[in-house]
Amino acid sequence: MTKPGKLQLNGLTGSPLEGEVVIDAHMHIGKFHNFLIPRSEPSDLIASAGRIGIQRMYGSSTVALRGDAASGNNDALAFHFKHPDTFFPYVVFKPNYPEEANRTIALAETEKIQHFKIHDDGNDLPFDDKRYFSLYEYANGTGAVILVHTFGKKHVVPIMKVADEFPRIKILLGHSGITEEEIYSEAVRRHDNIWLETCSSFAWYGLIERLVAMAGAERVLFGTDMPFMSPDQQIGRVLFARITDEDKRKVLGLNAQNLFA
Amino acid sequence: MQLSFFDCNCMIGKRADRREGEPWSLEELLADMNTCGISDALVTHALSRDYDPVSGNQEISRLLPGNRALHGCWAILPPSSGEIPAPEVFLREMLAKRIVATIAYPHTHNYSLSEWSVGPLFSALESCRVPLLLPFGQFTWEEIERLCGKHVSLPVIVTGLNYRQLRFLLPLWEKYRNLFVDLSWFSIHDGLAYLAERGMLRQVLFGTNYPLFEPGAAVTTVTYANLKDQERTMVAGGTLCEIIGGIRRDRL
Repeated sequence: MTKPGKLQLNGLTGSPLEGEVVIDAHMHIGKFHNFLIPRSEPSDLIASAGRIGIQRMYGSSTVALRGDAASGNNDALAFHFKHPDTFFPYVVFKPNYPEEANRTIALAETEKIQHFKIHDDGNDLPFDDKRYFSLYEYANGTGAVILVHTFGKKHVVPIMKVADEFPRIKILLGHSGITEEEIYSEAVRRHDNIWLETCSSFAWYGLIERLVAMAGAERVLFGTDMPFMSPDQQIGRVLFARITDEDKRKVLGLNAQNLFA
Repeated sequence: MQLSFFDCNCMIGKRADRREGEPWSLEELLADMNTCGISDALVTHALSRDYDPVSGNQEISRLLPGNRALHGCWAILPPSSGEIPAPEVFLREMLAKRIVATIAYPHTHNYSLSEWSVGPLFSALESCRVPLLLPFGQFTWEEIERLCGKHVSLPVIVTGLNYRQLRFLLPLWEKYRNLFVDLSWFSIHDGLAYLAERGMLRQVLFGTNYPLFEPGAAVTTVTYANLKDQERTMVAGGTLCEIIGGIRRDRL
């Protein structure tokens, strides 16, 4: 066997990434309707992060994604209060509950949270629908981060319009490259306010390398999607990627440190 | 702890649905196995799926001499079509050539998994304990239930199963321990530890889904799992070695 690099060696031995900045930019708390997630308690998530050496996790509530944003966002806040240095909530905004929009934004304002998550799960409203605009106007004013669930053109094309209209929002494309890679390439080429996030259960061969090539290592952020998926699988995609250890460090945490600063 | 990985889900050769940049050659496969610490791989040939099972099987046989890290897997067809020999002859040929597993693509190759179609071949495989791989998407769960129930000593390995299938799998695993899955897409959060706790860890085998997926992702699924060393060794390759070691050549 050829001599592995330091980070690859971590992957081969399963040793925690001590001395490295490792931040999970995309994870969740809660369960999901269409499959069993056997280990989804907050303590399970903390333990999984600890085994790998993930120091900070940015996550959203799946109850919120499924529709009850008020309840789910409160769950996420409670988790944050219990683990203030480890878990940081994305506030979920649901456009099909316009009567709650102001309250959702007020919650973020009160709690000084400048990270939001949008996902069309259940409502299928395109991300350039006017019902999202109260969030976009607020986030553009504060320069907040919005993590966007994506699965190719269907999601990336409308969010590119948002990136044009609201240039101060920092847009993070979840599941970048999961399908129709060319649209992710176009998004980062045309918009300085778009970043790419890596998590995907499809561990496509060479995808991390292609994301780094299309966006530059400075605009790619590691995410796990746990507990939907195992972070044990996701970390291997970066640790074994055919890029330099310096670039891996940017992807694993240094970029997130900057984006969420 | 240095693990010995044995990949049960690996394809070589030019695939019809190749994405640009994906490897297909023997040299690339061996290099990636080396990088990821994978000592052994059970390989099928792309032609066996995408063109003609018999042609692909011949290609696999040609690759094995001189490559001790590779172990062959042949695609099957219903014996009645006359494309492969009678079950006993097929088995004798494959085992003589270091082919230690079979794979079925009933959906892609347009045939039935029912007893009236492939039953005699499955009985022969079962008698010799030669494993049968079934890629996810090629079967229904009802077919799997019938297959595992009818051929209880046939190791059935479902490959490329995604992480959202536990509600199908758990009832099946309560009944059948001849049903296995590979972990390449079976990336359940803390799933290996959960299955260990339920006494079902033996049903999960290390697999990469190479060259579609990154083999390193499968490696860290095992190395970072919350398992005891003995359990980790079992998943990495121990169980697959047991399955292959259990092949009964004397039954031919």
